[in-house]
Amino acid sequence: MKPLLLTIGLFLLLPISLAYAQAVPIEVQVIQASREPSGAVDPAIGQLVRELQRDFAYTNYRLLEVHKGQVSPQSPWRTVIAGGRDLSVALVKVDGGRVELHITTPRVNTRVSLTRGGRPILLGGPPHGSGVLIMAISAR
Amino acid sequence: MEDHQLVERSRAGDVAAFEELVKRHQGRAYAIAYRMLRNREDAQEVAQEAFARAYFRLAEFRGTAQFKTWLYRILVNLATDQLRRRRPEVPEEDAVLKQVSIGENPGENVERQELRQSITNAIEALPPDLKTVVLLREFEGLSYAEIARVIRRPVGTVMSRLFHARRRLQASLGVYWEGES
Amino acid sequence: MPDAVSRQAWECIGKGKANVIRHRRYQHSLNAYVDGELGPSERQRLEAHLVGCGECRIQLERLKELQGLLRQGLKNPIAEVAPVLWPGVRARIEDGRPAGQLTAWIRQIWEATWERPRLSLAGATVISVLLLTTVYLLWETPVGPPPGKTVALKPGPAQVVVEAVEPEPDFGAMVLTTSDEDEGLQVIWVVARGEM
Repeated sequence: MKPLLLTIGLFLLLPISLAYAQAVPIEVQVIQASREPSGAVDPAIGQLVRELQRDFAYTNYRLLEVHKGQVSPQSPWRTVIAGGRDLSVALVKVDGGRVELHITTPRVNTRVSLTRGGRPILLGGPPHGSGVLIMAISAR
Repeated sequence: MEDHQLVERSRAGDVAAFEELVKRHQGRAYAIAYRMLRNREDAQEVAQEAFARAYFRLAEFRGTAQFKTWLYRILVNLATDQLRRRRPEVPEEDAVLKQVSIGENPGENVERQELRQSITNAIEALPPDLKTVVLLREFEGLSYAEIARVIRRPVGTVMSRLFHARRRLQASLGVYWEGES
Repeated sequence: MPDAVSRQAWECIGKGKANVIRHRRYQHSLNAYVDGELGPSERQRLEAHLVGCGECRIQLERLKELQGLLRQGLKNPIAEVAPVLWPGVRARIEDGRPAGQLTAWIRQIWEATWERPRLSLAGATVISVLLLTTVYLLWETPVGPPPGKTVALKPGPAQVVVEAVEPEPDFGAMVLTTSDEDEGLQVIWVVARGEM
């Protein structure tokens, strides 16, 4: 009896562990960019901001929140961004060091392909306070 | 074959293509590293490391700018890091350099060589940020826009650094103004 | 050269405070002028100024002399003695990706806390005008993604690829790459149709 139960248990665990093996950690940095004269840049996002400053006229960049989660083939990840915005990330495909994600916010659906451990995709534009939000989404 | 074609091939896994890129740019890369670091071993290390890193980051290179400029950026970063890390007792090889220049320019008189040494010293005395822009401008002949791309700063910063670098160089080389025919 | 004269040449002190400020701006242009980096209208303005300003003419000559000296001094044929780098490069490639990335990141964050890149007002205005113009053009010409349809973009070997973007009915989306041409960040910018 016991060996049978054990075997059944293992079979049940197998897909779960496979799913976990396929789980991809996701990180979202929520940044507020604005045009306040103080020109303060949050040091935690210094490198990212330096690249944005070439093209965007914002002077202030503040890291508001960092959200971390995991996506796997059957379960998307949902979280709530500053100001009550829903963000949902679903895993479409894992292909070696690249991962394809389906990202949904109230404003846009997008499918992106990222390098794991590489550069983030930035979603920006929604107004927040005196400025706008920029979400930097990356996969580990 | 053009650089960007070699880059494409390298990206596809053609190591011989990357070797060709290294051969093409190693002279200037080494020269810049040497002028920044004033030490042969360090210059060789840094130049080789720069090429290796370029290889690993080929996937990121979009090919819209020149390979050379992109390579220089990696190189200058590494060399600047090295300079900042360095303690003052690292041996410099000006003595060897003098012999080399005497050998290769037999027609040069002693004054010229002294002048050249003074110029080298004056540039050497500049802090790393200023030294880099002077080398990229006067030695490599890069435009302001290209320098800005290499050092990853706005063009205004390039102009400002050049302005200050030249002011200092002028102060240290001022004695050569008189009697310079 | 006596210190007083050279200092004066650098500061280009003219009559009155307005003159000092104007001359200081010309000083910076002199560098760009000598490097051939001035645009045609700025060049004309500078040349007009040079006609009347002796100090700036002296300084220009000094800059040209310095440049000549530097070029001579740097002409040392060090390139001829450059070693063959390929064996060392290949060895490093075979060793694999360097582990120094984390320290590099930390260093960059550290540097960023001490360096505050200053966007000049002119630069900021130009950029925001460009951004507004881009958005304006996207609304006027039917290039933006129509609501309800996806726009498939051609993927490349880059780290981040936007495969498709589908904005909600009242919004438009732009896909931008930041101007760091070699490693630009991919940005999806969403704008409400009423907002701009």
